[in-house]
Amino acid sequence: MSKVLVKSGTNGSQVRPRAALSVEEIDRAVRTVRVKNRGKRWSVKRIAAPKTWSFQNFDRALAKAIELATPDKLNVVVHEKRGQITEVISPREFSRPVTEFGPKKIMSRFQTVRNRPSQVSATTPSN
Amino acid sequence: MRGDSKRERVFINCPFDPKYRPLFEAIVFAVAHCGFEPSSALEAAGSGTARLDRLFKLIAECRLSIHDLSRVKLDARTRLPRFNMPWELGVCMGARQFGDRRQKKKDFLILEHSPGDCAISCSDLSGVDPQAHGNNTNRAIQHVRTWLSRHSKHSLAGPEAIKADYESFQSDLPDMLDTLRIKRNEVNFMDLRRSVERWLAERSVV
Repeated sequence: MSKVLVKSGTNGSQVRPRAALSVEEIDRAVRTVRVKNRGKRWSVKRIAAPKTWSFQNFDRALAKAIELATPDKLNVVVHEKRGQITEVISPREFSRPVTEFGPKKIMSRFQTVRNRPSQVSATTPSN
Repeated sequence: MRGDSKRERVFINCPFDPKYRPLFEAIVFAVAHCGFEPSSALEAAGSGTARLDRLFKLIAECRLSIHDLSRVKLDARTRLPRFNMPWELGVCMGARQFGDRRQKKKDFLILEHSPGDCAISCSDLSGVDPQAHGNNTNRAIQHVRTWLSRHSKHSLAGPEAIKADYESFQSDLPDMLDTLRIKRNEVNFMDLRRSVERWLAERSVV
């Protein structure tokens, strides 16, 4: 896909190499329940809803998020520290046990992929 | 959100510099919250038409327009003021004065930084009654809401409710952008308008 430079503003100070977001993309971001790491606690909030829940335990936070997301079939997005997204859970996955999700699980999956022999090149020096 | 396809457009004539961004976002949000469609010269950027033609088209199509003259001041580097906003206001006023019956129905909201600024920089505007926002987003929202209440067929939410919703939207926006994997400074006008509209639509069903 070719990139088109779009200048925003009259002075051309902001230059973006992408087109405007589609309604579908924005809907995907809006129709979401987010679980966010706040240090020692996890906060749960449905986008555009006024209320926020707070939990000490990730599993309980995720269970609440799935409970909020189920009626309207929303996605659940897990934000680790610094806003990094570690997991997007679609409504189809809600039937999986809560313990199958979460940062630790993600890290273990990442390790599995990284240690797979086919992914490691013998000629590439490791750092 | 009321009747998406029938919403009246409001042309927003304001600066696009990063320092003005919070006020711009607040005005866009307030316009959408009041059931109108915010429009800007930025929405057709890159469409292939000249900037001036896009502006004329927008001004002709929009009966209502908001003109923020708060940034008409000397640039620190060039020592020259920027006249884009007063010029576009002049085009709107000319259209109302000399245009056809449709153009004569135009109405404007003129914003300034401090009371009396416009009377000094453009004395021809005396009697037009500009509203001062003092770079305060809450005050800008209040002025937009008060002015649009005269043009809305529906009863509007109060200024405090719109301000509260705006703050809530601003707190949700970083998470929405994280999901979309874009940075705050990469959000263009179309992204902002669609985000506000979809957020408000979601808000009404939550």
